[in-house]
Amino acid sequence: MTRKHTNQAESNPWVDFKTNVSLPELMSLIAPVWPLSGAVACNPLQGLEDYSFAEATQMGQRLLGARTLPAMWHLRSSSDLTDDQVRAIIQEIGGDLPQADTDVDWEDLLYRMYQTFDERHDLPAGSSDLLAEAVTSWKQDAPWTHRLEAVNEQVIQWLGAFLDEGQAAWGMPLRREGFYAALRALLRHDKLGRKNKSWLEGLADDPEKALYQILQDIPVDPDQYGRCLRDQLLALPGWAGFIKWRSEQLDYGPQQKYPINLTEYLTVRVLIDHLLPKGITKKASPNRAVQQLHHWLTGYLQPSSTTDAEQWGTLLWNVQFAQSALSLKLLEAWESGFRQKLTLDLEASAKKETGISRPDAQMAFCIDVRSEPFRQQVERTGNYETLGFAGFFGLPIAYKTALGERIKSLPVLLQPAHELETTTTAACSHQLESYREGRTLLNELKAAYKSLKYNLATPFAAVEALGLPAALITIGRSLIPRQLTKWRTGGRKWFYPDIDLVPDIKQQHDLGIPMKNQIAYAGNALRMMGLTTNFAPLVVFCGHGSQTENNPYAAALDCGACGGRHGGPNAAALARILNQSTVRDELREAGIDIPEDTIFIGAQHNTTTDAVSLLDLPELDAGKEAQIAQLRKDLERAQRGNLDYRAPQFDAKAGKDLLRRSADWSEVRPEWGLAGNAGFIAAPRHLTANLDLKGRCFLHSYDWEQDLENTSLETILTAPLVVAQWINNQYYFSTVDPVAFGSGNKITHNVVGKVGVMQGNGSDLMHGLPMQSVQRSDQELYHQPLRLTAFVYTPRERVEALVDKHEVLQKLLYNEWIFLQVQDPTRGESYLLRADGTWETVTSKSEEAVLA
Amino acid sequence: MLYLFLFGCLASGLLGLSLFGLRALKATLVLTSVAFLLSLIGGIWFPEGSLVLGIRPDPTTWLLGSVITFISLIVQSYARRHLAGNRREVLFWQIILGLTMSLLLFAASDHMLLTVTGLFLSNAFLIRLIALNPQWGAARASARLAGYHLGGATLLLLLVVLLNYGQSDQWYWSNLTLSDTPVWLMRILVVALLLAACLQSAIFPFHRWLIGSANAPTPVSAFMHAGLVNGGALILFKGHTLLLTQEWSFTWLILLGGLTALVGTTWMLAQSDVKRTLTCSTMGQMGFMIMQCGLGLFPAAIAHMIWHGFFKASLFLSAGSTVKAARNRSLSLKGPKALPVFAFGLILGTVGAGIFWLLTGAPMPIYSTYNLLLVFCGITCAHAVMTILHTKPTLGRALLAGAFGLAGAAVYGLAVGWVEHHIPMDLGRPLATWHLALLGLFVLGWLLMLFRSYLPSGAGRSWLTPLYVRALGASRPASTTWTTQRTQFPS
Repeated sequence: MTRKHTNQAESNPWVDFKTNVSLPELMSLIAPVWPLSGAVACNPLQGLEDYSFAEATQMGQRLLGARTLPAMWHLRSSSDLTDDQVRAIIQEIGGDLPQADTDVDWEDLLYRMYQTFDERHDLPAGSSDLLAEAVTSWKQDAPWTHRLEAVNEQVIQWLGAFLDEGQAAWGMPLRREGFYAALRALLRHDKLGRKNKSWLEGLADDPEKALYQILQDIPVDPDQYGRCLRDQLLALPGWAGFIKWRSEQLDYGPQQKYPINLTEYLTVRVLIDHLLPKGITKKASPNRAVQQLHHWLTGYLQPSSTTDAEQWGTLLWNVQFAQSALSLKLLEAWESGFRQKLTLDLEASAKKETGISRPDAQMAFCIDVRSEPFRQQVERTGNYETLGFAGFFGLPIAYKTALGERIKSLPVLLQPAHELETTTTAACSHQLESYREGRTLLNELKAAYKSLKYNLATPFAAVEALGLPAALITIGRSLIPRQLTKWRTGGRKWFYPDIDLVPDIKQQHDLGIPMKNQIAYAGNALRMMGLTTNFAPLVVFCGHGSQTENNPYAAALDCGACGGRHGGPNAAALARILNQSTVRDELREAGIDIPEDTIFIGAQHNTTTDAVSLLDLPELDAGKEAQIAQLRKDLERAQRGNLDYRAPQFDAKAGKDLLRRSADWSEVRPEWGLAGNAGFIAAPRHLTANLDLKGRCFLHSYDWEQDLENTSLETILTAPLVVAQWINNQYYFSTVDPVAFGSGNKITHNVVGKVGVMQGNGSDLMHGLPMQSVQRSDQELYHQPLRLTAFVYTPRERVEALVDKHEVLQKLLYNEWIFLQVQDPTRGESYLLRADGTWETVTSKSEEAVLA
Repeated sequence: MLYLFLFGCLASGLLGLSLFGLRALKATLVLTSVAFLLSLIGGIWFPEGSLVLGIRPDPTTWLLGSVITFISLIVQSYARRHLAGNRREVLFWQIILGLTMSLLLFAASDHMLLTVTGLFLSNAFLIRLIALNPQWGAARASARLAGYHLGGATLLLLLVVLLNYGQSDQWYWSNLTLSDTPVWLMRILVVALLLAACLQSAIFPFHRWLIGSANAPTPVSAFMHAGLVNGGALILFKGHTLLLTQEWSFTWLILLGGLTALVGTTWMLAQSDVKRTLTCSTMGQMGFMIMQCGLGLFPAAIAHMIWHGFFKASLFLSAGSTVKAARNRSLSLKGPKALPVFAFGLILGTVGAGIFWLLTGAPMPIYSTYNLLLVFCGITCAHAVMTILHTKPTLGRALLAGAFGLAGAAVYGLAVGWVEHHIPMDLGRPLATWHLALLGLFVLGWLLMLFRSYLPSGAGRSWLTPLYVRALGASRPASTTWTTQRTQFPS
């Protein structure tokens, strides 16, 4: 096996400023940002995945002013390294360090840094002249960099107005003409543009032409265009990312109506730069990471007032470099600690036999890390077998809800192949109409309430009439949240019946799924989850969704495999497919024999409260009713068990507190989501069944002996693993820099345009996860920022073949964005894939002996 | 005496927090609840009390006391979870309790110096809370901006108090005697009082501190919009004897208030982020409240202050829900049924206004400014009816719409009537033609928005486009209060 991705970054073109970049190349730097309503995790350094993790983190640090490796206090507080081990690590990196400052004792400096540097500390008030001069000596400034912030301020306001999806009752005029055209027309009336009307009129209609036209008017050398545009693009990475996402969504309503793309955005930025008064410049203050390092270093080295700023600048630069080198090494040690422990556990379970009796029920869950502890609880309550599978259950569908909203319920890597309507069980079909009417009425009453607020003359009396009810509801939502939620649910039932709605699989003209596809999806799904024999009388497909109140990040807690939606509808649709005799007959021909007495049931696991609701139950005989009643009882026991298991994660005394969190509108940590994730295991369940994995692993069922052609593994490694990597990187970066890559603090969030959040009055679109989703408190970490390791239980050659075949795997593995470890059942050993393409044996007999 | 117990409760909460940190949090909530109950009990059974330490309990102070403690309770019960894990959590709680006490002092004090002290402390606490995280430059700038305006309001009030004392040897609002005061001094006093109120309540052109205040943590915004920004009405209420000597002051209040109401509400429509939408809306509501003061309808203004405060607090606290909520739309009537729906709305609006008139005690004669409230009630009731009816003009819907509209008018009437019962004061000014003209502006705005689909528009390039750009530009917070570089936000 050869390593194809060589080190491309001998000279980093993005840091060393390519001058003649093409726009598309520039734009590949920006990672897409999804709107909040369908939040999807992604690697914020996606544009740098072609570089090794070590290089990319360096580049990210310099391009975005961000911290890209764990902070020292993260590393220190979570590390179980001894002092000697730390010193050894420091010695190891000593050779890579710049030797210029010979009077600095690097080993001592780094060791002190490891022991004392704390990024949580407040910065002292006031600015340091030494630091300002030192940073100036880095010569990163250019004429336009001092105007970026002034441009940002103008642009944020306009972007909010243009990209708005329903906050402003008075929407921006002329939006249909596109961002550049609209702004060009509107700025004529603005303070900035009023005096430049003729200049604005003289610009080309085509945004790209206009871009180069304006560049000639601002004081930038032509050979600096690339650098200038790169800085403009990265000045607001969140907004740019959202524009990038939107411009690629051809079926996205708002984009069809009001088109925008990154070229238009860049054009408007330089246009505003040109219109701003010449005197508006503001020297950007050094980013917080540099400031913190500077203050720590002043404490350590005690520079005198005569210290030469340029020398200090060089020193600071080198210390920053050394800090990164140390952090990376410590991170690697942390990661390998996690891997070693898990390897030992997995190898110890490899020998255990499992029974082959028929379980009372089989339940397939999403691979989401939150399923793992719950599966364990389910297995404990009775004779149940659980499986792990991507939560969209292999159905590439989009469906229309009862009220006509189209939902793409599949991983964002895929495009929907089928458009479905919504239906309900036969028993409730007559209620569908009253459901629709009731919901419409309720929505119209809500609209009436809103229309009272959004008028020139009516809000004044309206707020007085609504004041007392608002006050009572407000205090109730904080003091008796669960009771109030019950009343609200009860109140809703008064308007419309509570029925299960599922996507309608039946083919009707263009809608639904053709029978031959249904058979194929059903067969593939069963094979992928390794469920082809020994079917239980009940087979439950269990999607998942979260339940939180007043939480802009609600979708980030939902099913990533379903595009940030609830997974229940897909589960119910697959159950419907498999309950048809035509499908079963065809599958029998293909070798999957489903017994007559097996029924399939869709379900949804509420990840916040751990309640499981069975969806869309068909009509059943008494025997089945009894089986289901037993299952329900056991699921309730599993719920209680898992709530108690999770309670300590919140420092809560009892599981009941977690129920409160699901209903409490003031709660900033309603559940931990996928925080903690660090592993991805593709193996038969008996390997993991007896391990306490603490909800840190994605579990995909996989049986290499059944996967003769290696196709299931191919899918697992190229789809679910990639989605898991996106999630893992999002958690990683949101943790290491909760501001540059995370969305900062929830308590000052301001939702803009219903699509994203800003901090306070106005800021970049804060993509990523809020601090509260990854930290227990301001002072304490919850998510451990580790890169994902995939553990696969299969012969090594099979994995090799797949890595050789798929560039995406080479990119991610050889660049060390994720790790891959194989537990080879034929050799009885585990191997870790190294960045150079070789395998490292990670177990030895002696370790096994220790365990025995 | 009983009133002092309120302070006692809150002070012991504060003490508990200082001694035991967050472990005392539950006790703090309980103590605040007790303070709330005490103010209810006091208001019902011991409405009139004697002057103790500069505080003279009467139905108004009890009412305000229960409102302040209730809002504090709302904010506290929310912040309990919302700020969990924040490194400045204890400080936040201490300031919240301090703020509650200083607001009580401001509202209840009859001694002028106590009033000024209460206002000063309240504003100072608020400013510290806006920049709860002083590492954040934009929040510091917001706090500074608020400091200039609110500090100005405090100083002006102090000036009024001192000048008045110098002239009349009188420290008590209730004994304000102005017979000997020379006219020039009266003018200065009134101007200072008006300015203080306008600064405190963010009346145009002193609105900039409020517009730029969204850097505050959400629970702080809730307290600000439900509490402190309303201070202007209380300042005017306490000093109304002064105002009565200078009739022109009422004219100014109406003009500034009316202008702010129109401007704030217009800006509100154009905002794309939730907090500035709410902020501009508050600005409009403050304008309306000050306008009510100018109309001489102090009890109605205080009713507005209370109920709007509750409502706005609730909206701020639920600001995270906007992602899932439906689009914000204003009603537009069109199509063949537009006119019948409009007519039906008007009829029910008239009935609604009648209900309001009855429930507020059918108080004023026909030539009083009070009648303007009837028109606002009628318009709003009609608007609600039309919104529910226009999507599906059937008999069933008409009944439903009528029921909602009239019930709303009744609740409005009861809400205002209840407050008026506590603050019996009839200072309604005589109705003048220009009052009607101002009312006409609101009605015109209402009608224009309702029937906007009939307006001529040249593909968006209408006269509204420059207005939109101006609204967006003028409602922009000060530059220093933006986080223009992402990494400036402190983690």
